[in-house]
Amino acid sequence: MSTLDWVILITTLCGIIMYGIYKSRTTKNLDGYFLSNRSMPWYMVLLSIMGTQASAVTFLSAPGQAYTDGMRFVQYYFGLPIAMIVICIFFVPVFRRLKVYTAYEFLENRFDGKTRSLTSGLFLLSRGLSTGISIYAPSIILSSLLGWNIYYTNLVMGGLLIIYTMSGGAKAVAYTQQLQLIIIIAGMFLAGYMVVTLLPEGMDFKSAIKVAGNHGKMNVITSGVTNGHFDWKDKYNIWSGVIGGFFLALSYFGADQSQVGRYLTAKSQKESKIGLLTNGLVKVPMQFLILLVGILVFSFYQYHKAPVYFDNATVLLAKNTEYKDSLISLEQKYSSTLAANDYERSNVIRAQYKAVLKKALPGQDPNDTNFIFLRFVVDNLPKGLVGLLIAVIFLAAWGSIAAALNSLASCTVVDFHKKYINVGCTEKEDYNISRWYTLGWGVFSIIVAMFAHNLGNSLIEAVNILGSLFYGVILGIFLVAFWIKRIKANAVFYASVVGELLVILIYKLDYISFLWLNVIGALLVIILSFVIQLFLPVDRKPVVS
Amino acid sequence: MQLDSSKPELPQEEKSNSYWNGWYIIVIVFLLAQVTFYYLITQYFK
Repeated sequence: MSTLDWVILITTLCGIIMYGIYKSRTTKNLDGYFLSNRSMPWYMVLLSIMGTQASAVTFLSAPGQAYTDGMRFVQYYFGLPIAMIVICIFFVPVFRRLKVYTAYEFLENRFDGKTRSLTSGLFLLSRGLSTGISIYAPSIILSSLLGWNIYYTNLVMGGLLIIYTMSGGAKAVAYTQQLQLIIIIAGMFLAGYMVVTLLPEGMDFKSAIKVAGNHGKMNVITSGVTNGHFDWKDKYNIWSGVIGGFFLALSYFGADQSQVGRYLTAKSQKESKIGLLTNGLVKVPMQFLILLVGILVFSFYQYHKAPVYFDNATVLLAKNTEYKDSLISLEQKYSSTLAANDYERSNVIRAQYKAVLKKALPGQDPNDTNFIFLRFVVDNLPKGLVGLLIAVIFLAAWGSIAAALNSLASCTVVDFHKKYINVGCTEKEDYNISRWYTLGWGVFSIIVAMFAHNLGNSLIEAVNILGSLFYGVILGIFLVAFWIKRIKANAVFYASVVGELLVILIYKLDYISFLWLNVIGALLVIILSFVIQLFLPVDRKPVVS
Repeated sequence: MQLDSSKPELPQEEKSNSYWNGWYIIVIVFLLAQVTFYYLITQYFK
């Protein structure tokens, strides 16, 4: 990286931290620290929701996904707008009316304390671990491509944002996310524009899309049907996108405190709803545009020499093994096929190269999808823009990690500390303990990140699988709470425990793509609750609707 | 922690059903329009 890149990167990151600290002034109680005194307008809610969902891997992985697999990944988001409507109709009014701090408080009102604690505990477990992986995933890509020390990268990725998240709570999170998102969108547009300018003379945006289309990359809508049968293991098609994506978005936005905590900061129910519905309008086009950057990068590499493998560090490691000669021989073959413009053959060699890498480094996933975009940036973009795009990766990570830490702290304080440890603490004590829990979760996430290399390098999938293992069951509990009044506390509690074990078992059996686990988890809780309720006496606790 | 359900939100923030139905229709119609557009793109490049 050049000096200019370093200046831009450091200035941007320091600027965000200063802005976060400047916006940290908030009232010293739970309302101020976790909900910004419920004072945010709808556009701040929107930006905060988007900043929380769009993590660093979104910007690293999505263009690479389009490069390798085409545009069909966008279908993953088709269920989201429908989920926004359902949340506005059923979830937001109840959360607002009960003036809850966490989504799980509602469950104590509707069921009982143990159901609330179980659900909040499942959230803390899944979100705590996935936040650690969210720190490690972009760090390993940056450290691998730029030769940075992974431990220091983890510390910067997960550590600096703690300064403003701890001091300013939800308000600092929302304001920094607003600025972060503006820089991220500007950076991605600039990257897309630069790819087009780097295309050979006479080629424009339209012809670049056409080139990608000719190679089957404009496969936006796919049916999931292969050889006349629906493939349940196919990850991205219109059905898994609409149905699986709907359940995933419903659980993420309706039952995950990192998102619920964002729209609870709105100054009214109306502002919460408009923020969510606008997210339903803009999310799919935004993802489409991010994927389109990957398509442009693909077209770019049709006219420039693409690396046989996009992650240099892995190649260097593999070349220290007995497979060094095989790798060098394949690299030579790859160069000659590229010189002959034999695209099909070069793809075959890339696959062979990955197979050799897998043999050379048995513990590692040879998938280099996540490295494609950043490798393109580092190798081809001008000085300054490289620094800006690396800053984009950091800011995207910070936006989602800050919201996660804030939500982890709010659940620990409201659902556990104030309930079981220190019931009658003052507002000042609440505020102080909330800050310490924010710091504690930040340190925990960094420790998880430091050990995450044991997961191999398929980290994005690890985060998604982790979410899918728990989200379905959590969503099922909320669906029963909202819609099936006859089911009471004990039935839903035991159904959730059994449902969670079954979801883990189904995942272990590996019959089905992980996206469907959200649907299965939710349905299992609903069905098991009905069955268990038949064998339990009905208690007469009034139902909150 | 006690939940406070005794204080209803201010009435002015509640909008009529038709206001929200309008929003829901816009979101659904926009989604359908996008899916149609994406379908046409897919077919065009097939």
